[in-house]
Amino acid sequence: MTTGSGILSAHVAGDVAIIEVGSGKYEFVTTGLNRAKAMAGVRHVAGRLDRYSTLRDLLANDVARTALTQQLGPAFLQAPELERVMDMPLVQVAGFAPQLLTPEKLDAIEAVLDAAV
Amino acid sequence: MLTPNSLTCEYFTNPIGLDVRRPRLSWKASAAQRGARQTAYQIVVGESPAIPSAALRTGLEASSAGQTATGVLWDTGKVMSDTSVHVPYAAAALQPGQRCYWRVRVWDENDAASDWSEIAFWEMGLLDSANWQADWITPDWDEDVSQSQPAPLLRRSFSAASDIVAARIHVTSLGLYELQLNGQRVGDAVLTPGWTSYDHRLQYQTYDVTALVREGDNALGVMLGDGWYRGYLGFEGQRNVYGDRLALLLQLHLTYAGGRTEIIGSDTHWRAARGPIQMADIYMGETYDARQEKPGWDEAGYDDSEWHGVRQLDHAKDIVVAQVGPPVRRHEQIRPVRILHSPKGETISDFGQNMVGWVQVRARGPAGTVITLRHAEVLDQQGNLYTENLRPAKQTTRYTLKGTANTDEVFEPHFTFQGFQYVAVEGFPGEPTLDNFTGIVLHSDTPPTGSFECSNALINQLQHNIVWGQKGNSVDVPTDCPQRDERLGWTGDAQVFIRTACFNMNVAAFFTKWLRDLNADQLPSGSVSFVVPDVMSKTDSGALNVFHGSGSAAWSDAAVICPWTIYLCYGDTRLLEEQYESMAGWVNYVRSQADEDYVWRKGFHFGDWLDYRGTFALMPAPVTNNELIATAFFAYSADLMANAARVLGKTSDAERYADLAHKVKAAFNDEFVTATGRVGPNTQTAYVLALHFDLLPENLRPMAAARLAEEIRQAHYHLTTGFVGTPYLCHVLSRYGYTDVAYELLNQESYPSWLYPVKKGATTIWERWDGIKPDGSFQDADMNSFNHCAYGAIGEWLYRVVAGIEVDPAEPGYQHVLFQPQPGGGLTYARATLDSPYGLVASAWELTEADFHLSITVPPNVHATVRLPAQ
Repeated sequence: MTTGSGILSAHVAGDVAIIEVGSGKYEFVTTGLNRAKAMAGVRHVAGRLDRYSTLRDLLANDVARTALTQQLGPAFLQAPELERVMDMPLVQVAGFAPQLLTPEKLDAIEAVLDAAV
Repeated sequence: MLTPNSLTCEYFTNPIGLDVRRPRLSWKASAAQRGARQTAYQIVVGESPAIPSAALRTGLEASSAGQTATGVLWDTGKVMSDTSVHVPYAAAALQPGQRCYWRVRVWDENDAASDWSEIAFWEMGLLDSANWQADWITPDWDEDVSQSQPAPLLRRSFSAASDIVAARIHVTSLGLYELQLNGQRVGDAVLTPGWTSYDHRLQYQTYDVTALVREGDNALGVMLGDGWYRGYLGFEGQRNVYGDRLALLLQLHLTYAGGRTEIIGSDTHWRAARGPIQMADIYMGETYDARQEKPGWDEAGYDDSEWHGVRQLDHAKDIVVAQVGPPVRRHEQIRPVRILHSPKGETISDFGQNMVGWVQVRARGPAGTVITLRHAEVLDQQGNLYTENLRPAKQTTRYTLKGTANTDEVFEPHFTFQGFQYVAVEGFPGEPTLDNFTGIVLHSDTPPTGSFECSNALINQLQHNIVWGQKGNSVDVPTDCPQRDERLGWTGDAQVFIRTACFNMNVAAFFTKWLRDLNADQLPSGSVSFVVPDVMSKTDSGALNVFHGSGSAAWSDAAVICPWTIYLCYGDTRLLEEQYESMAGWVNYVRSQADEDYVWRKGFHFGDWLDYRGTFALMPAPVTNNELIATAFFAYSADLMANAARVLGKTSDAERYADLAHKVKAAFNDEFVTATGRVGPNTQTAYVLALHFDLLPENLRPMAAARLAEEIRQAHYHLTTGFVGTPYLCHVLSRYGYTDVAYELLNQESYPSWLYPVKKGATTIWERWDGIKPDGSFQDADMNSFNHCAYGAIGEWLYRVVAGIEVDPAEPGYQHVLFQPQPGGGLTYARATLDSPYGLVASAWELTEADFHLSITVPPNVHATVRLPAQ
């Protein structure tokens, strides 16, 4: 690689490859990172429905609404105080209702959402 | 081999009307081979387009620097240098109106010479007040200046001989002007002469009107409007802030074959009349009565015997300077996406995009029909036009039809602009359709230079909103908002957003102009006003008047941060030189305000403006105290001063400011930091400033960063920063190994977050994190703009960290590019481009199941360092 056209130098420092180049167009490929590695630990991706989505977004989705109803019962959706937490992430709502929204139920709801993707 | 191209002078292609005595020349280059770099250049400047070519044919290419031949103004000879940006013209003094043609050729790394570039030119304007022979003139009538008056028309006929080879108009006004010549609109700029610190600097524009002047009878026509000069300005309802007389200063220079010249200027031969614009005001809108039009008023042969005369106005000419920034021009034309009827019965045209500009109306109806357009950014929860957040600004345009039987009448305003997505239409003859309205987007003509795109649609919408926020807040000055009775050049907003602005568009000339106004308005103490141009000192700005002159941390620091940022992004050393005294003045002023121990405790500060304060009154969130913010920015600006002094070779200054920065940092630690890395009130902004400005000793930085990350986790991955902390928040997280946390913030969709407004349908950046609250109600109407740049400062993180395009301060202007993308946040690809001073820089990465691909583009004469994850 160090002898490639336009490549001025290359070396590895720790877990980073450092390449000095001159002008031009270059393509680099590294197996040091891939999609699975990059996704590991990603808690929430904007637009994706999961426990970090707002209740409003979840209820606007048929699959998510059904999953919430199944796990929490239809009365949950009729609760008058629901409107006040509608724009909170579900996991944050769980903080207000830990008996109802247990980690197990959050897991179950998210499993349904993952399967629907 | 290199091929020079894209020749510019003072950031513009073939500019005319310069008053820069030593204009700077720049070029880019293309090359087929990798590793292409310039090792030498030669510039030849001549008096005519033939001269550079002729000079080359006669062998001047071998000449040494300074040697000239007839018609050659400057031949640098072969200069061994890789400089291709901002090479200052360095030959005989240039004369008013002088046009200079130039070419460049370059040598590459193999000492192979390029062909000569195409010929470019620049042309000087009027260089000082002695060049102005014309007089200031104003209509010879008295007015009630307590309210908007009909816009005056001024005209003058003149005769021109044959054989005109060049015609230039230099023109400016007190108030705004639109210029006509022989019935034709001159130029395409609007809201001229723009807004500057009118008491110190008033820009004139130069137009090439050679094609419009004809042998025989001609006529000049000028329409004047109140504009920023004498219209409503500021949020206390004041008018006539700079003066109460509209006036014109104009000089037409005719050059005939053989070299004879003639000047037609503004003088008492001009005539004046009231025109069809009954009222025009930046904030309030415009009222136009087509029945009052005077057909042919701007053409020769028009009978102006019934018109009024004009009189001379005693007004300074030594404040008149050439335009330095890009003018405001029309850009996109946007058709409405729907017409709806509100519960209140309003007919509302929805343009689908919050924009800044005005609406062109096409209508046909009886004479005297009045069409009224009321502009607003949003609809309320019921779907009615929401105008409360405009405060007293009316944003209303009215057109009275003259009644043409078989053709549509087409109207556009002239001396106003609106911030809007929705327009309520009243009095329209018949049922309006989408075709009756066109939104005309106006903003300073800052060329687009950047693009960012990634795999997440919501983040792409955020980038879209940032760009549109920038457009709408670049109407000749960097403003806070474009819709309410404010639209001022808030220094804090400008410094917060400038780095992002430099990616999206070329803003070098735009900020050069604004910084000259900052300099002009700077107080003798060194303090810098809250807004530039400084209208607060000229108006009763309420409570803020008490603090005028005190300066505010993070706001007045724009005096230092903005020139430094332009230097970094464009390699503009001259701007640093020009602003150096201003920068030093501000830092020295802060030193005088800080206590003996270097902590800045007194004075007025905006603090971490509009930060998140929590939703439960009984449990208010902690606030980053002003003393901490002020002392942090004191250290930062002192550091930047030291950097600027080093760049300019001011060694003793560099040492002095570095020492000052060191002392302020020590004071910051003594006052605000614990031995375990806790900073101040444990807010995100406190950690962000301490870490971003390198205020903490190195051993405390990891602890402070960990505390910041934990604070964000405790907030369920929500930011709590305001204007001051937001621009640096994600940078600090990335720098200290918490890029994953930064992506969590970016991906956050609930309030407060960048994507919360996006989820609420925003098409621009909002002033407040919750301009529209989660329950759909609005924030306080007294301060709730839906088009504000400041929180769009996340944009630079998208370019610099997500796409990974970074500048090396040691080689500013992107002559050395760092490519160091940090993938994350579930993104599968990201790509960004930047049209840098040297050419196109591009970074595009993609994550596949197996690996990580990075594609980069490095322009000629640039080298780059790429950092890739190796394992």
